[in-house]
Amino acid sequence: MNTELAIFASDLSVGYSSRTVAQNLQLHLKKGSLTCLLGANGCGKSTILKTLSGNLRPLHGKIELLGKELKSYHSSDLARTISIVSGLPDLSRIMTVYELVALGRTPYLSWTGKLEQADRTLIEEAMRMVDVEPWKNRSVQQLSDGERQRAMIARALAQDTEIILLDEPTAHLDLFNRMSLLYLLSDLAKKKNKGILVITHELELALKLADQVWLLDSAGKLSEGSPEDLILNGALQQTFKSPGLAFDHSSGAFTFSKQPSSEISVEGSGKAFIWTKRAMKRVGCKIVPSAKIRLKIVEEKNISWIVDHEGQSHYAKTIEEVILQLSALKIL
Amino acid sequence: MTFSKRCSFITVKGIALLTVGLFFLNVMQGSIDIPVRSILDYLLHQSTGNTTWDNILWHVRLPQALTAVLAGASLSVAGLLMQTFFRNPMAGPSVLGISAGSSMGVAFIFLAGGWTSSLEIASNLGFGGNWLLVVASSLGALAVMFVVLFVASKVRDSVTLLIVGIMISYLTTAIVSIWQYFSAPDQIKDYLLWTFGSLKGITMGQIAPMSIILFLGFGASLYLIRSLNALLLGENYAQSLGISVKKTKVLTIVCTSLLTGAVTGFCGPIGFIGIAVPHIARLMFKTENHRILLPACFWLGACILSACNLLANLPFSSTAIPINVVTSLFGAPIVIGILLKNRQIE
Repeated sequence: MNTELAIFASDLSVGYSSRTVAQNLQLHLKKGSLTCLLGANGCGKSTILKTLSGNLRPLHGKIELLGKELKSYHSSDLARTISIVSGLPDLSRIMTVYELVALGRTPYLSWTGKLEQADRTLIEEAMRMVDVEPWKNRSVQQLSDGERQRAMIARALAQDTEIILLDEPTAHLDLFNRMSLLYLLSDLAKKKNKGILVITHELELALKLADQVWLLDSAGKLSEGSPEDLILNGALQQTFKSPGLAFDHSSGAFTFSKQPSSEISVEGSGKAFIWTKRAMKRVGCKIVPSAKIRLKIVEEKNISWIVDHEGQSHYAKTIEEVILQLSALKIL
Repeated sequence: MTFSKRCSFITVKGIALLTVGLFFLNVMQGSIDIPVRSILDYLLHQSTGNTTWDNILWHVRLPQALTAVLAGASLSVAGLLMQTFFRNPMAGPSVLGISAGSSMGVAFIFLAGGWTSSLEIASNLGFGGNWLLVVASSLGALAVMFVVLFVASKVRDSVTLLIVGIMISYLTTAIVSIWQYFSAPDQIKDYLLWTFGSLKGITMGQIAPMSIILFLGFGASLYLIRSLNALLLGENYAQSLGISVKKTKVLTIVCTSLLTGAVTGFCGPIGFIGIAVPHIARLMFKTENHRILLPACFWLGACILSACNLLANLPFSSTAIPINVVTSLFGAPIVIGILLKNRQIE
């Protein structure tokens, strides 16, 4: 019944003998989809991942991989079914990207470690898929963190498994690399019909890219669903609930909510209008159409701003000057 | 890849050929000139027609040349296993105190045992005595291996592990010193001579047990190729690649102890070969793949220790310097180089 599912778990409890981390989990990881596991730091995301990969014994419940019970997998079969990417290992200066990716073929090799032609083809293909082929003869240590993370993913692809689990692959990466990595994973899931589970803290990106989201709250309760459903039913807001943090539906992200200090009206249009409003929100002003304080955007050759306050007009050339004027007027 | 692989294949072969050449030079070298033709005759027909020459070849030169090959190969392979196992470039039999552990095992036989006073007597005991020496030496190595393993699970830092190795060496030396204090002078003399390390004084009767153990150790390490490669990624990744980490650990520890123990038991501690050769092999073949590194270390170690032995016997002179002097002169700068290079990375 679960052949469409890469991973199915029911009534699962995970943790260590001394402490249960999460219980009563019902998990469904679909083939051909990218699932993001979200949750605050230290709530047990990695523990779930370790349990699903067979690294850690479940405390209770059952796990099925591709419709077959995890317990019944031999370690070599398991390595051909599930691959993991968790952190960048310290590697020697001499190991090349090719050698690293080739290690993904380990479950298919005899004890002599000899790579056959079929293995080489798969290694090349894996490197092409994540664009690390140009560096294949370079030392892994010469790569940037983002490139090395891609190389680790290429290694997981060379392992040729239907399920890939990744533990925070976007950590330590810059924005561009974080985005391109998650796009890449989403793409791979669809093209190769793999079930991919990613632990990440990239909430905004995850909400945009994930087909499914697993939300783990600090009490160890997990909710599953498409990202939009989890926002609409309030599960997401509930999970990340903390004082001063509010979910902004228009941007799809959490923002720090300040108590507005005063009301202001903004008049204008276009880009300048959007960013001026944003700046006003940032400094804690509430934007109201007919407030006493008025901020006008004048777009001639250059953009400038006029602050109208108690019959007086103050002129500003930049948003920074606007904010300075407002504080001088004791509005902020 | 295919290109570099073909290249390395030729080079491993080249090193093997060079080793054979050095082996012949080692057999030829000595205060008495034996013509090359007679040596070849001897190797093919077990006789040169000259009894003195036969004796010199059988009792002195052949065992020494064979020991150089076997000890060099084993220590290097042991060093490679340890460096992968501890994921630490500073690991090696002599550096981490594994050889010191062997010394303790041997000292136990020489001094504390009290029933035999010298290696000569041990060898006169025949096969049994030799095995006893090897077993004691391997057990000593094994004991230290476990201590270092425990420390390595607590610290990752190369330099700390190195210092721990030195401390373990001091500890074993201290224990041995206590035994020495209560031992008879001639027992101490024999033990002291042994601690200098030497490829000489090994008999053909000892070559057999030594080579049996070494080839067992080497054969088992070949079986570990795939697992060792996976271990380069760390234990968690190795496990996710379907490798049984526990089995690999046990086998690696046994292999290393056998390889180090057998060589050290017969030759005494030989420094620096174990730590330096794997690094040279990696630099030469530009790979971390044990499929290439294991045979490379085997032949390179045999080749380098044979060359060291040739130098130690001081060509064109009748005097000889201890083998450890030569290996240290060649190995210590390499170890310093590795430390400096690691510092650059930090």
